[in-house]
Amino acid sequence: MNPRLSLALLAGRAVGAASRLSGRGGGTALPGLAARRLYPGLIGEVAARLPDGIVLVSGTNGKTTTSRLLASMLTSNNRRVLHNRSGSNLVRGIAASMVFSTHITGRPRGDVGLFETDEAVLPGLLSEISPSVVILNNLFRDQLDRYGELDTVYRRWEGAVAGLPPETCLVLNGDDPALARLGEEASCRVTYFGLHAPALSLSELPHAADATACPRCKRPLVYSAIYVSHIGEYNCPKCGFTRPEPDLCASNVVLHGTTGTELSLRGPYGERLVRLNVPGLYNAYNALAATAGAHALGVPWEAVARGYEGFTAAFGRFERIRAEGREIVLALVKNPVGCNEVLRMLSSEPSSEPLLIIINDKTADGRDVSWLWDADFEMLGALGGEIVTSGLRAADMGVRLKYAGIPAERIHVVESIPAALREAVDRTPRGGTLRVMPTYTAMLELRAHMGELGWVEPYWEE
Amino acid sequence: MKLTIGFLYGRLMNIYGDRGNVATLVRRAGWRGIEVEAVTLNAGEPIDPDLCDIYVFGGGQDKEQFVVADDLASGNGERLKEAVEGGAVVLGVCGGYQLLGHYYKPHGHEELRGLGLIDAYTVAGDTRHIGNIALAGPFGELVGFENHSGRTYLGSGARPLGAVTKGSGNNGEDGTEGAYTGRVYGTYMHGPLLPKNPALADRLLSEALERRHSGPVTLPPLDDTLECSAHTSALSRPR
Repeated sequence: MNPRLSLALLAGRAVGAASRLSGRGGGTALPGLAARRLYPGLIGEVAARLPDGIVLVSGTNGKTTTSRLLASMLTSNNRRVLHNRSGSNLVRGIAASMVFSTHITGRPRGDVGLFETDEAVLPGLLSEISPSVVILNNLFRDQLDRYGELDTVYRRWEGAVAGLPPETCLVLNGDDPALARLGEEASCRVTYFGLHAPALSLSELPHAADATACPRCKRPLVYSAIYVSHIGEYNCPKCGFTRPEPDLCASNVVLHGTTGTELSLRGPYGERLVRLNVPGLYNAYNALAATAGAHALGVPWEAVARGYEGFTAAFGRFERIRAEGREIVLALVKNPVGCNEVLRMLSSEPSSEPLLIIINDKTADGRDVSWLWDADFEMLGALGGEIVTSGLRAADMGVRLKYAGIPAERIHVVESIPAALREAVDRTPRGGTLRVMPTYTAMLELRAHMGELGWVEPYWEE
Repeated sequence: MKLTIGFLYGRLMNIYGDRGNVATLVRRAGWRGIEVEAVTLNAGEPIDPDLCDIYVFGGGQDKEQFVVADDLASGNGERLKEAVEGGAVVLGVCGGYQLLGHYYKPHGHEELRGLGLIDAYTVAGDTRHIGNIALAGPFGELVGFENHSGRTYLGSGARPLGAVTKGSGNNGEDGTEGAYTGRVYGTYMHGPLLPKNPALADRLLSEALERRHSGPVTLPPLDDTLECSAHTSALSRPR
């Protein structure tokens, strides 16, 4: 028993209890901050005591859904999972989840640690612990005000991955050229997942696509299929760099609007058909990432299948809420690529029901709202409904829609989130669906307000 | 009346939503019944100096800026200067602004030669200037978001777009932001710049139309209620 570790764990819990009592929210980060300040080696020491080690899930988009699905598979396999569930994916959030699930003696109450990790934080965390599995899903432009340029993040990943011990299993999305290049250079075990669904290919690279140059020779890549942003089936005609043959591949993808997706998987579990309870092609990638991760951890197929069945959307990720005789669907938007996928899905279901878009510009949202112009809101032009914009940047969002070709009389700017929710619900007919696209802190505010109305449970009680 | 807007190196220099400037010019011309077309101009393709009335030159990462500087040095820079002599309007933002000056000196790399259309030069700094920015100057109050490590210093031949009232601006030292010379404008303001500063957008459009019609052009007013409320709410946000 390490007395400093015990003291740090106790202090973290005390901070968490105080933060809850004062009603300042879920207390998902502060306890970790306090505990780490008292004992900086906390994460590494608890990690070393987990029988199945640590799994890190990183990438710009899909961290929360991937780790939730993988957690569902692990739980179905009777493994106790330490999980930073509330989307608090900075190092202090990871430390906090350890604080609450480790006995004062330093013995973790779990078999495996499963942590979604902010892409900027990943390199630093890898210098503190040696995970058993690292899952990397994609790398898109996101919050440039916080992270600097994409190239900088990628170079730090390269350095971090090069230092992974040979026993770590690196699970990569081979359809992302930058990650495939990372795999080429890694000295640890590497396994790739990918998609083969040419019928669902985009006709051209979207504006928000990054990294369309060959990561090896910098010349333009040629795509035979483009699935999400710059992710797809590609090769470089100049140097021969090619998408790696996926060890786990999904084909025959059937998208069921905003409700779910069917996938045929082929790989280490043989040929399997699964149904995923979240919609969209990008979630097919999250499913592949989780399945490949489960295989790397030795989870048998039966548990994987039960994991799929028991999986529900994370809060704000196409989460469905019933209120006042209507259905409210929350689709978190954080960056142009993710936003485009949500827009693609919404515009695929013709509907003249209203939309509520809530844009905040706090640190966790990205302070710079320029990204709204990299997302293709023009896709909403085909839908005929009213659009309420809200949040600290409600007016910016209104302007974006106007220049996307939405008639100004259909745009309603209501900065206050409670007032905007009221207006949007009133504009939704009974029996209808209100689609809501909030940024991260906007979603927290919206959920807190819906909690006050008694429509949802407060998020930290999940 | 017809206008052609060129999105200069639009595939490479598009990192912070700067294509919103193109969309704003296109829409505001279109709403006034002006026939308008936007074209993306790519590296490796010779620019026709007579084709575009307005060039929008956005920001990019250093890597892309190197490719663009090379392309400008191998012919397209001269063609662009010819276009400006012929009366074309240019708006450079961030990386584009830097290349409108004499040179940009990045970290660990030799100087990138700029077009010298604006009397200014830029040196990479050690810290990034990131945050909301506002300024007051000859074109009124402008709002945007800056995110740059370059420090730009103006010579006597360039005038700033204004004095910074919030944020860092050109170099964080002299209180200036942006620059203009004739019809060539440069700024560090993303946001993007034009949607929330519609009067500046209209100034660029009138100047471009004057080129084609050799005389003053008055644009009919538009309902800018939404644009103005976005401008006001951006002003109220902290740095």
